[in-house]
Amino acid sequence: MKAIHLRWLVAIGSALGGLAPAAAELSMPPLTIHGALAQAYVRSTGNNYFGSSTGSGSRDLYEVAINGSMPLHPKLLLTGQLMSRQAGSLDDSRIRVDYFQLDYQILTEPSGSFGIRLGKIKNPYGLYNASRDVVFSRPGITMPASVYFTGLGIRDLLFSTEAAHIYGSWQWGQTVSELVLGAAPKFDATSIFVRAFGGAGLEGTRIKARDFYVGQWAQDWGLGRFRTALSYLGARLAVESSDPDAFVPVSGLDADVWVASVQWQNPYSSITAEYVWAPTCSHTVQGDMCGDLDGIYAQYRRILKNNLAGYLRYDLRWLDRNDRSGREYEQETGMPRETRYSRDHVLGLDWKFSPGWGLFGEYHYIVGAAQASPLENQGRELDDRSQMALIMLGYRF
Amino acid sequence: MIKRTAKGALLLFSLLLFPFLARSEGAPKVEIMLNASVAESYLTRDYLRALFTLRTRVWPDGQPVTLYVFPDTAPMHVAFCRDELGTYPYILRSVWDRVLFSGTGVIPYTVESEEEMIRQVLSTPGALGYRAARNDPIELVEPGGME
Repeated sequence: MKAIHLRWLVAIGSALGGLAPAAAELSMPPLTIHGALAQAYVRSTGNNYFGSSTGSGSRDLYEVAINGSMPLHPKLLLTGQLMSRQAGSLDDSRIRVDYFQLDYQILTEPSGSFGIRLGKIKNPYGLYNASRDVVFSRPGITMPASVYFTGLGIRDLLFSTEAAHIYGSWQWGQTVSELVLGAAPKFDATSIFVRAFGGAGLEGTRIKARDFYVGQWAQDWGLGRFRTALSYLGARLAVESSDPDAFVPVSGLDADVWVASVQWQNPYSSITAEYVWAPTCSHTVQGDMCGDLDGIYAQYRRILKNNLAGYLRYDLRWLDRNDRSGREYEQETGMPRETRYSRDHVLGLDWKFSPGWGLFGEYHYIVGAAQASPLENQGRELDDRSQMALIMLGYRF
Repeated sequence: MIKRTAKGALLLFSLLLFPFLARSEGAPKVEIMLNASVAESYLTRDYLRALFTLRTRVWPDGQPVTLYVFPDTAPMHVAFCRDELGTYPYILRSVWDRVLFSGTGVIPYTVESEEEMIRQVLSTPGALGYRAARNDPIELVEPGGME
């Protein structure tokens, strides 16, 4: 991984050197710095979310992001963001490079644009993945668990990837089409799985991701009043052992994730709905085991006053779309069926009480336990009913 | 039952759509300001939308675009979004936030006063901003004509 970072840095350094005279001649805008930080307090009944929230509450949910952008040439933009996020057992506050990319806009016509991006790039997945870890740019304190895989641990795979993307947009009257296609070279995803599942059983093995592709086709209709998008993210994961004679019960996993999104925006309200469908196949010693999960949410948001908005969300997750009630799973495994689905009823408020500042509040009533992480609830049985209240204070600059 | 549902859906659609099209009386009118280095002929509504939704960041003659706006709640910004772009500040802000926190573009600079807006647009090559309309219909600032 380090070698790849170094290669990027060398490439970017060369680009900087070559373009400096051009930048000086064109009086380029300077380096611009922005950022956001937020701290939450979470309390719940039933299951733990974002730390030990069932006791006296958890302050284990915070996020800090600082980003910079610097045009090196009118058509060439360098951007990067450092991020630290704590989320109970699911994120560990380490400082990570969230993105660091060069964007070369080859074609810039009034009716459309076309360009390429290289580096560590946020994956365009659904309407919110690219900016999911900043409370000001997501649909609430929590992301919709069904579509954005919160609590499942593999969300790190969705964040950003060292990749190459091509992108383009075309305007047809009041309609705008945008397309992004990306591919990543083979990379090591072991650390993602160690963080997600604690590393048990992964000793002496590496998990490599290959055939990693992303794509998004988005349409804005009627000057942005109606937005639709179709996103795809696919990867083949291979478990490789350093010991050729080692017993590897699962040798790989193929995953394809599709998201269909619609959003209707009015002056004072918006309705957003997204549906995810993710067929997966595990390669095990007993043969291939395939299944598919899906989920859907709908959110209604209303601006109540200038700086105050409220929202309602209904969020449904099923770990097996052919066994939505979990009954077959319960019969086959003896494990509780409520861990296979969740229905989350969300009521939220956000108040931008001062320039830069935001105070957010959210209440959840959750039936089922598919969005409660086993890591957060070690040593206790998952409850099929939970309530959760969150309050978050954020500042952006 | 089906008829009633259809009628309800139509009513809901009308209620949701109507405010978008409504324009309040007495709202400020805006005029676009361009730095003298930029040709007025570039400015079409479609191009304005492409610039403010950050899909393009270079003028057709190759110089970089720098955008200046008033804060989201400023009446002049609300009027600019509605009259010039056909959208609303919170929709534009969500686009800018997505771009800002994914590193896929450069968001506009926010200025607090009209004096600052005029100063910045006049002094920054490739700059585009807006201010309260002096005349009706809206006219563009002539190159070098803002002194």
